[in-house]
Amino acid sequence: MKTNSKNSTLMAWLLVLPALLIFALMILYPFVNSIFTSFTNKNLIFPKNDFVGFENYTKLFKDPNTLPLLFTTIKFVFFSTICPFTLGLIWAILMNEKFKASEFMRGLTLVNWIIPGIAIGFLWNWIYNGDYGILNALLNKMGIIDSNIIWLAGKQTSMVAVVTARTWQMFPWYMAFIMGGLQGVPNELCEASRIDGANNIQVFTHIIIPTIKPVLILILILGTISNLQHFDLINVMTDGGPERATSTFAIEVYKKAFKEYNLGRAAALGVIWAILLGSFSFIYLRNLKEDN
Amino acid sequence: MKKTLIVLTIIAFATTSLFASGEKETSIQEGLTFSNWSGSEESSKEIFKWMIDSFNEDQSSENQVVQINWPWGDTESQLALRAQGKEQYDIAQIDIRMLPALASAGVLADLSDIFGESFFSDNFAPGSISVGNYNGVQYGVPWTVAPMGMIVNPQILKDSGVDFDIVTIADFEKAMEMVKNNHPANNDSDAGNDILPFAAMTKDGGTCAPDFMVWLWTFGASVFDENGNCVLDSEEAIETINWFKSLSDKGYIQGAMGRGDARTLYKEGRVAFYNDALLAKGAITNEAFGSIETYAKPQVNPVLNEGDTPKASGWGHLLVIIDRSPKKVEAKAFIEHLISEDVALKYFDEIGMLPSKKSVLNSNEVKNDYWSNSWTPILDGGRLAETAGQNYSAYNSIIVENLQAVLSGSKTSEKAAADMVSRIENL
Repeated sequence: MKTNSKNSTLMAWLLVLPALLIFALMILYPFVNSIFTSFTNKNLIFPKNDFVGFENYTKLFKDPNTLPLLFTTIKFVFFSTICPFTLGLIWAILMNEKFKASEFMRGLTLVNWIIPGIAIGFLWNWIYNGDYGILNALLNKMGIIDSNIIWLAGKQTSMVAVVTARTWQMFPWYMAFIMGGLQGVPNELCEASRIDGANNIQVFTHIIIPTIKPVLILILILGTISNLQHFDLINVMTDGGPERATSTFAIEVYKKAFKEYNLGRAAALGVIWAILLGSFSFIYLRNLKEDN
Repeated sequence: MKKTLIVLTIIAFATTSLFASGEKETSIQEGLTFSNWSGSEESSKEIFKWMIDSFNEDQSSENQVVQINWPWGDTESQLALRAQGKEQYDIAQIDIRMLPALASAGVLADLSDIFGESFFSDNFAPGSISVGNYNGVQYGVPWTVAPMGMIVNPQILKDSGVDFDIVTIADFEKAMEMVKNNHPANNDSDAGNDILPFAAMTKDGGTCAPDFMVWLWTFGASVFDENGNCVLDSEEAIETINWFKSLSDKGYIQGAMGRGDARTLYKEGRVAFYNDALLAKGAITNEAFGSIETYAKPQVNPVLNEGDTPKASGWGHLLVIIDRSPKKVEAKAFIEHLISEDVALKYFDEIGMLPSKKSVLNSNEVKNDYWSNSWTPILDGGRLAETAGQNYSAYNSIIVENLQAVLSGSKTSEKAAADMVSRIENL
């Protein structure tokens, strides 16, 4: 009996071992290494790697761009989560209805999400282009504007442009999850409440939303984490500009490391970013635990 | 038994994976790698393939050249990353602006040892040799070297009634005003045809900051003084920023303009002036407009006062050999092939890249060519961007961010200038 139990434990460890090894090599080691790097002046092309204490952190906190960077990241994450979430919710409710071609429409909607972010960035760049973009052409033909608007040159318009592109890319992902939740709502419950006199809005707010609430919370947390890490669309569309109006942590870390070659500073910024990400991951994990 | 089998399988999988990854490390280098960006660009893709194939025809399998491409903007970082890794690379095409950083990082080989001292003086003009030299060491073979010029669309100027030579800043402003106000395309209801007077770079640090430096020099300002102090808050620098802002306020220039955007617009006949390098020919050629002289004329940048020396941003491509390449002799042979008369003339003929080798530069094909002839007055006076070096990207980002802030009106020129100095000094 004892031998069997020992074998099972050994077996369990052996099965977990590959995953543990991958975790240690791909996540734990780079993360610990980043923390060490953040205390050095390590440079990508210059052979220096001296311990500089908290210098990278103090320089970051003294940098007048750090606080705006945080606000820009929060602004991007907030709108890039809420907008596709709302659109995804509306779309999921529509797609959940049985109508002709509803299944085809569901599949078609997912195309946005399948297209690589880089390609979406270029696509929206063309749409927004101030000189030959289709958006200006449309607005011009409709008589709404009489001269071209350079969408990606304005501080506000560039953020709106990036969030719109991200919304277009991500709302199918939210839709897919919400649809999964909607299919789990018992039909009898909706019918019973209608018999009791509830209208559509009441059924939606009092029956459907509470039932799919765990799904909604989970995708909001996952969406937030994903947007905190988001890089490709912004990089292609605005490169964080103009005037850093769309510069998020992901863009800034990339620039510090691969454009300015300042690995120490990039690592310090990365550590702050990881703490921010970690807090949302903690909420996510706690939520999962509560659900279980 | 079943459990033992699973355990053994896992162990076997783990060990074979380790050996598989280790084998690559110990492999012997075969062939040569040529890192470049032009080989992936549409206008030069074919000629690069031909250049490499024509070399490989006479080479044994261990000396065959393969190319690795990445975008121009990533070249410096990719070369740097490879310098720290163990990946093979031997020869690279670099922009002259990348030389100070890569040379001081110890990535590049001293070519005087490989080619011999007299090779450079025998084959190249002193001006061309100097762009490949850093701190007295010859790191680069000049492949094509010519400062950036102002490319003008004579047809647009004619249609706008501009019938004078553009020599001074005042002439330039007058011409832009006439294009903005007089050109028929700017007076119809279709905004989709509007002509932009001047496609100045305003989008990214890599193009905006070096181009803006030319205007700083034109107005007598600079980024750094002779002691290395940032002097972007000087009276002349603020005057330059104010002038640039006035161009934006008058609608002569616009935001979010990168080099690629400017070329696309120019090719469509929608830009009167823009700054570009000699290689622009390949990107702006549009047969629909007829021969290139009807719609593109390279000329020097305007000066502040008549008689001043026109300023220009240094531009050029160098061929370098990576210091840790075990095949420097073979790399030398490939570089000699690239700058040989046949190859250089074909490169020139197809996309207008001016050769640097004296013998090729003096050939009739080059001398009789409209594009390269137009470039002759521009050839003197190119200056490397003051920000070139270790902090090139960081300095350029600071300049472009503050310039954008002035153009959008969120900062005054004085505030932007003070912020530039403060951030550059505290980098």
